[in-house]
Amino acid sequence: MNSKSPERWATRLGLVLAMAGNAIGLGNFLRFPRLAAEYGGGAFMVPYVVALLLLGIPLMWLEWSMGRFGGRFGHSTTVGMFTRIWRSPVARLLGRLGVSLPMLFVVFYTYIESWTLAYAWYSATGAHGVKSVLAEEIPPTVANLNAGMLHQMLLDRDANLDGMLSVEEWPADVVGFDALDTNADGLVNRKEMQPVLDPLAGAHTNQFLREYQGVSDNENPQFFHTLWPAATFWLISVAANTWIVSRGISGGIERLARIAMPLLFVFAAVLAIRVLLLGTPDPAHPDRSVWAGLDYVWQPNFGALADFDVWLAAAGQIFFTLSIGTGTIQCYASYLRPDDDCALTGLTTAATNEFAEIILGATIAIPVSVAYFGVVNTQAIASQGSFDLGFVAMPLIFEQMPLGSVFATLWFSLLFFAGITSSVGLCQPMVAFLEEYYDFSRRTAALVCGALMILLGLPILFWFETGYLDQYDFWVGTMGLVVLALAEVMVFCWVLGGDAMWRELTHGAQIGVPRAVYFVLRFVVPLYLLVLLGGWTWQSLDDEVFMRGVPTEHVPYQWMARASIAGFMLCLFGLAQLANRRKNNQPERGRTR
Amino acid sequence: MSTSAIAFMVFAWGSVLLLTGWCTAKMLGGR
Repeated sequence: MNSKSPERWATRLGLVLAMAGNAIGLGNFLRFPRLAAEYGGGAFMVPYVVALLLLGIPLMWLEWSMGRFGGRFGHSTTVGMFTRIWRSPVARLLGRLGVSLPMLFVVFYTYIESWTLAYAWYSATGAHGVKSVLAEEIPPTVANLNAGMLHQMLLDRDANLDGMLSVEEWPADVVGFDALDTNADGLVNRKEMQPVLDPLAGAHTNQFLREYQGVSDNENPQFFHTLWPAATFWLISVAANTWIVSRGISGGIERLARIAMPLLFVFAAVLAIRVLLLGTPDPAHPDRSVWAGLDYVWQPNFGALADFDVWLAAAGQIFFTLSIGTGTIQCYASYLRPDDDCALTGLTTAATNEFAEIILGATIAIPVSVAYFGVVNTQAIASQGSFDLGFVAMPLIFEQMPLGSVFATLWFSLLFFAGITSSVGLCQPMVAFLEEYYDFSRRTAALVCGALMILLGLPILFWFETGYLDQYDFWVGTMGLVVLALAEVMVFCWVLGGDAMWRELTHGAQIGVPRAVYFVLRFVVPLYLLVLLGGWTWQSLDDEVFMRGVPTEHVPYQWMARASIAGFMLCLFGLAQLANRRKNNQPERGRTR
Repeated sequence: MSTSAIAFMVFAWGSVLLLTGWCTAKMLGGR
């Protein structure tokens, strides 16, 4: 344990901005509006608000108070916090998740973040290079007419276990389906359906993204011939994260938040206002307007509430958007003073995140996509995932707008700010762990963190097409978060005990925390998390767990991704064990702040 | 936009603005 004076947040505003920066990410601007539109529009807000009240805000308060509690004893990660509360091998094991998960998370998150930096650069310099006409990009083909319906069929039941689609089950009016190759059994590979399902498959911005990622089949690349540009922007992103984290809490992370967060809000507000002023961009298509887009996002479909998947999606979104279960909130909160408020500051962070999500996020990507492409195409684009919406559709739209390059630069810059303010938070637990347990200087710890990002991230860069990143996203970015959150609740609410937990949570509170939160945290949250974990496992059993539908040649790469996750976790667990032995009775050696 | 969509949007925006405003006022007010 180092004996330097503990780091602290310099100002309360800086703390709120850093915490909000940690929470606000790509999910606010791409994932939320997409899910809202897909899962019942305005009615999605019902399960969303329920999840916010019963899962999001209580867990947020729990993580804040657990972090402040740990900070009192000099612990900035769950490694020390869990063992301080519960001297058991189980606690040691679970606590290490709070360092390994964010480290693994930041490995793939930084790569996506680097795309936003690259796109901001290319937008500012005009390097997209091709001015297109929408009518040429999206011809009125089968895609426009049937994409939404086709996707729904895919979701429903038509994809069999090998990812093949049965021709016979398709309705007769699906134009263009006959042109696809079928095998002897009359089955069509899902990959071959892409051009039909995705109205932007032929767009040059799609080609741009695929060439940038190094996954294009095009023999004559238009934009990128090598992976060097992607590698360069990725290394710049890693270096930026490393440098900021090496500057410390107030000098690095807080200073970044004080600059990036106001800019993010200004950029998002400018974009949202611009979108609202678009009206109907093409008079030839009066049905394609920004109002139709907002209607698409907010039109309530109460029938969706009977669907379990909707509740699962809403709870998942609350989890992602508030950055719960990553170990970063505890880490940030450990730099609070022992008597600092957690309740009001934590609630303010959640409110700021919701402002960015519900007001700004829901007003930009989906409404503008509907205004230019129409509802059916937007459904189809959104069904391809958030990346198609953000990195393929949006650049195409900006090209059609006056001063488009300016707005494109604002869009990708705001995504980059959203990304980097989150990724520095994900780096911090590892840095704090090395400082705390190995007496590393902050700079050395940050350099180790940067080196790990490069070492573990290289396969993601080179093997992106194989779904290597998807394995990280599922095991670390989805399941891992819920497991860690479940562990937190178990340790803090049950092992520490309900009364002690409540004292911690309400200590120094500047607002009255309703007593109901006590019961919610002890009983409702664990149940919610178990249902979430079970539901996601069930949903992902075929695609993610058993890798059904994954092309045979990609399977070894995805196993390597799993091996790297498991290998890193084992290494970190070993390192923590070693540190524990080396320093004997680690919890008692903690410094009381 | 349909009336129901407007109603939900206004409800959601209003709730968030109220919560954010209340938190900000409390923060600025101090202890």
